Amino acid sequence: MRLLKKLLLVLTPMGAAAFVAGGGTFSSFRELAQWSRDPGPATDDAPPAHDGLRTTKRLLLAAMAIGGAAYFGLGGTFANFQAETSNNNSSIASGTLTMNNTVNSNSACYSYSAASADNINAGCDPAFTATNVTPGVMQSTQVAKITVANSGSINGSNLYLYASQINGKLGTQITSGNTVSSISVAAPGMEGTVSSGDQVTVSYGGKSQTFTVSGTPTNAANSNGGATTLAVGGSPTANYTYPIGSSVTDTSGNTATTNTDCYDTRSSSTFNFNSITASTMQQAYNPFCGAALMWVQELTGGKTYCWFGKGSIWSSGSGYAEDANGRCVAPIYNVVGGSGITGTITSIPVPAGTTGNVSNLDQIVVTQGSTTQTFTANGATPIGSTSIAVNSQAVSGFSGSAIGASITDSTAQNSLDSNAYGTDSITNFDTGHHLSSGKLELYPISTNGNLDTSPTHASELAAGTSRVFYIGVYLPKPSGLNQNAIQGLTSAFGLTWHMDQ
Amino acid sequence: MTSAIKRVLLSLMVVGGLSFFTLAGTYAVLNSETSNTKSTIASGTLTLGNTVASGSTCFSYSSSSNSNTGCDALFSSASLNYPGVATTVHVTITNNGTVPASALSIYMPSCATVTSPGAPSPGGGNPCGTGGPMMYIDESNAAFTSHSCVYPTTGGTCAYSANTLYYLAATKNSSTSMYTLPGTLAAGASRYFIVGMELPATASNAMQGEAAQFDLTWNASQ
Repeated sequence: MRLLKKLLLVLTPMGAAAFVAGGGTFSSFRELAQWSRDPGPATDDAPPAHDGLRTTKRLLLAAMAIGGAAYFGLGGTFANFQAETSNNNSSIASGTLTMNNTVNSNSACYSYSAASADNINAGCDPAFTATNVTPGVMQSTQVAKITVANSGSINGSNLYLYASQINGKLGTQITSGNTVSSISVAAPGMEGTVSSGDQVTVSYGGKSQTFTVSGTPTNAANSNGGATTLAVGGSPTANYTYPIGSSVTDTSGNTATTNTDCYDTRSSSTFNFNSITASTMQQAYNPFCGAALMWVQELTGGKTYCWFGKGSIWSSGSGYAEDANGRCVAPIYNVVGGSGITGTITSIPVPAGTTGNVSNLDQIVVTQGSTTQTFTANGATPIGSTSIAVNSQAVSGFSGSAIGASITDSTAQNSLDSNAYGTDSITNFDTGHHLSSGKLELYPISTNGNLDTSPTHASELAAGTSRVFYIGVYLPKPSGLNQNAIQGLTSAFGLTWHMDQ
Repeated sequence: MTSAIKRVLLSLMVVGGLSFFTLAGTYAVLNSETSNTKSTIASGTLTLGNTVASGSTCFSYSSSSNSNTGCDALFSSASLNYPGVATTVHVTITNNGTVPASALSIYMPSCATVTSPGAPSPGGGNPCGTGGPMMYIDESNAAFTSHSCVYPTTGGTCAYSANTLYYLAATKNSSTSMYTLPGTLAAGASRYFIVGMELPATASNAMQGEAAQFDLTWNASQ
């Protein structure tokens, strides 16, 4: 009954509205009464009797009458008993799509933690800080384990890996409304080579503005890489106040060896033989970026896939095919662990897990100081294994059961030595797999060496899950090639992991 | 007016419908990104320092090829040699790079006969040939107290023997035919050598007024 009353009360003002709306039609209640008895034309120019407006007016007039009756006549007719329920405090919460990546055993780096406040964190730990990289030598610092996790509540339908765009962070605030003549980039400057005419986007919290670089960037280290000041052409007006830490991205790069995200600097200015712009090596610009080989090996849920490097179909070498078992040629660097090796052995313990793939009959070199012994692998040992099977052989010459002695795979290294230059270099990763072209979509691995690329494939990074990648770099030692020109150089580069809903 | 609004709304609906059906998958409603930037890999260095006696150190990296041919001479023809009289010089070779050298070698890319300073009438002999000066290289400690011969023999005390300059000039004269000294040269380490030279006591008159002008190159390889 209460509901009915409410309805009638609503009808009342509707009726009143009809009356008011009709004010221009009826000059008095008598005209109204007349009109109600005879719905003929009230004026000479009135519409015909069957006009829809008149019908509506009648309905509304009736509604007014009903409403009035309800208000004055139905009081006290409701029952005393009542019942009511309400579903209050309903709420809807948006999900989250965030990710993090963890380098080795470092702290996780979250996409939402960046100063740029846009769920894009370009400041995660470097994969490598490798020094004294030497041709033909593997070191522990040349392999990084990166765990990429979906830390949100929404599945990531697509997960991508690609070379970072040339990037930096804003070093000085850009104020809204001000004319922008230059962009200051925080130390260590832009990662990659910025050139005149490049399009550089400054972004923060969903706001962005693109500027055109004018002139040669300054304060660059040896080349245009590492620039800390970018002159801007056209005197644009800032559309927003971009605070320190905002992202600075050059979207024009990664198309040639001269403008990759990877760029070289000279460690020492006293050397006269390691130019980074002269045609001293196979690659004139950034020669170390062009000489160092890289691989990306995934090991997730016990399944392996080679995403880049020798053994990957996604590498730049012609005629490449994915390794049948999804294993890159990834030389290991491990140390003897567990109880070590003594007497005659058939396996070498590696409790920490192998950092590369060992193939059957590979030559496994154990080195402790000046003592070296070579073993022959007995069967394939995939990445992450805790021991390397070898042919039965007596151990000799090591102290302390060789615990801590280094383990390398000379066969795998030799394989990369013969693969030097022009194939799986960091430069080729940058130019072949960047945001604008060649992004690696990290489909789920169905079986070793095979991907599920079907339209209905599972989320590439489901909420709460993670995937594990091993990234390695190796400077090959090609036979008969003088590599002095890449002595004393430092290559800086980045990898980007991107997830979409 | 209503009609115009209707048209606009209808157009928007059409655009929305088209974008829904044709652009699906192009834009993500939500996305997330992390980057491992600023990875660095730095190549090592293998460079040599060469100090003759108490002279200035000459560095390999001062040249455009990491091969510096302008280091101090070991001997000067201004100091004339006489048969049976030995002369020595101290040489310090340092690996001032970061990569260890697995081998240290020498070779003699050139040896030419020139006239000794002030010699009125050279004897016409060839000091770079057989019967010419004898040479040895003795390894020592930092105080240049010899402890092991490295050329022409290895181990023990060095002694002059015939045709030892000639041997280097004739057979160990390029980077592809070097004489490898025993031992290695760790990064940051130095090795000390005493280079001895003596014209044989039995040298003929043909060696009078003749000088051997030779280059000796020290090579370190990874």
